[in-house]
Amino acid sequence: MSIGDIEMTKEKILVLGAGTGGLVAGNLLAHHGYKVTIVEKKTEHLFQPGMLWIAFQGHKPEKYIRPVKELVKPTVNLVQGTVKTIDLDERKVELADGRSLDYDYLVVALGSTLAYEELEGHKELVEKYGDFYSGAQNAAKFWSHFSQLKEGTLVIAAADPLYKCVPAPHKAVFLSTYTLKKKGLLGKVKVKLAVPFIYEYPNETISEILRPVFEERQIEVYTMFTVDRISLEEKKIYSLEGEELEFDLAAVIPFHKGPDVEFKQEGITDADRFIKVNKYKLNIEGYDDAFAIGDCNNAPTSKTGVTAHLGAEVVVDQIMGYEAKFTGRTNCPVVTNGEALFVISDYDNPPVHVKLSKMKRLMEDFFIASYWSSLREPEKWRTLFGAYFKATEPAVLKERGW
Amino acid sequence: MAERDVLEALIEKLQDPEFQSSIEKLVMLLDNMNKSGLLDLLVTVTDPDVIDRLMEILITTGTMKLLDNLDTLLDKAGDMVDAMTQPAEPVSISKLLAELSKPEVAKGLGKLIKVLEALGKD
Repeated sequence: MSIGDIEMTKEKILVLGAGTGGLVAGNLLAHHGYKVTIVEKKTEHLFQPGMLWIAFQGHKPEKYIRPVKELVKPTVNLVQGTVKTIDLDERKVELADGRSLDYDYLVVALGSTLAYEELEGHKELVEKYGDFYSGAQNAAKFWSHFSQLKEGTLVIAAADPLYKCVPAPHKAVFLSTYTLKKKGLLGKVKVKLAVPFIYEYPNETISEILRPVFEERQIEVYTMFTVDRISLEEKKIYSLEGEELEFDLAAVIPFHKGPDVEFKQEGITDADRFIKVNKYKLNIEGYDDAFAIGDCNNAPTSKTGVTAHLGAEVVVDQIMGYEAKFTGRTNCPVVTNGEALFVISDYDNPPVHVKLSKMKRLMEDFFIASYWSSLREPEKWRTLFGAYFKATEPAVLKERGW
Repeated sequence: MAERDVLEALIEKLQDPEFQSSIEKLVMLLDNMNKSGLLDLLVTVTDPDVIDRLMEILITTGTMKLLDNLDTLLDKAGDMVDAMTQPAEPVSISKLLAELSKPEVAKGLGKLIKVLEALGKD
């Protein structure tokens, strides 16, 4: 890429959060010579989709965890701390321990907050069984229960339509049924998926593609099932629509909220604390020197690693003075185990028709294998990823499918 | 990992006979590649600007489709090899019309017509 070869004023960049978006933005800007500080409260970075493989196929958590310090370029100033307040007018960020940091450009990449307290009985459920959203340890805990399940019912549900990684519950039932099939337990252990959507997936096209897999794997799908409360005592999940599902083991995707930080200015976040941004530029509404990328913003697209990564690139380009526009592009993988598909959409196009294939599964393996390198050295992957996203643009694929 | 730790880990790895054997083979491979000129070609091809151009040419909607259907295409290629290596009678026009009553032949012709349509598109 010739981008970045031009010498320019190197402003001070403050990135909040070392998730996918924060690391890609911080490392890309550092590569281009900016003075970058990244603030992160955790010492380790978790490849979040890995939790599915830990919880339902017994993968070792270590495979999906790396120390944050190994994922930042040597020129990045990594500050361990918790962000408390953000003052967008004064360009100042205060940490919980009292330290204060100023900036020329701010990139908020603090992710979303999992709100288990929103649903009655949810905290108790996670404490007992773990789940595949709240961390690698809880995913391993879930596996310790799932691997012991010889009969009964496994229920996977989503509490709210807004959560990161839209296909996560679908992958959960596909990976779990694969494990059960391998053990000869498919049928003895019933697998049920309960979603708060009209169809199996929030989009009809994708639902139609996945339907035969649900049938083949004997997965019972309950649509329009909005979880109202969970009773650990009765081992039942109740829905707002008046249905109930009994379980022997269950995981419910929690409510998601925006990051738990305070803005000095009013009206920066929506009712669920997601940061209000211009959906194309990803700048925080009313500010051209502050951006919010990934799960923490209110852009009307899926909350996924890909959207965080692509959003980071758009923000970096703008800071460097280039024209850049975020399209809301998604590339969510649905993995059945041997095959996969990608849910490909953007702001202007609903998910295109894609078929499940072995090659897409191989590509997903490739994406997973390249993950750590793409965080630390995003500049090396821009051309390849850029070519892939261009070749699979929803506007092009909608005529031809993939 | 700190620079010192990386070096220490590497030195430890070098004690491993299996790793030593890998290094020996790698050195031989490099030597062969250099003598044959392949290494020079690789150095040229892996220049970042060349890679950028190559990506743009190689990764297109068409190649993504091709890759995605590679397993099906290879299966079909295997079937075609089987068909081509079997003895076949010459086919006259009347025999061709009769053959078209076979569902597989009619379907195959339909697919060939689709391919012709695609080839004819500007």
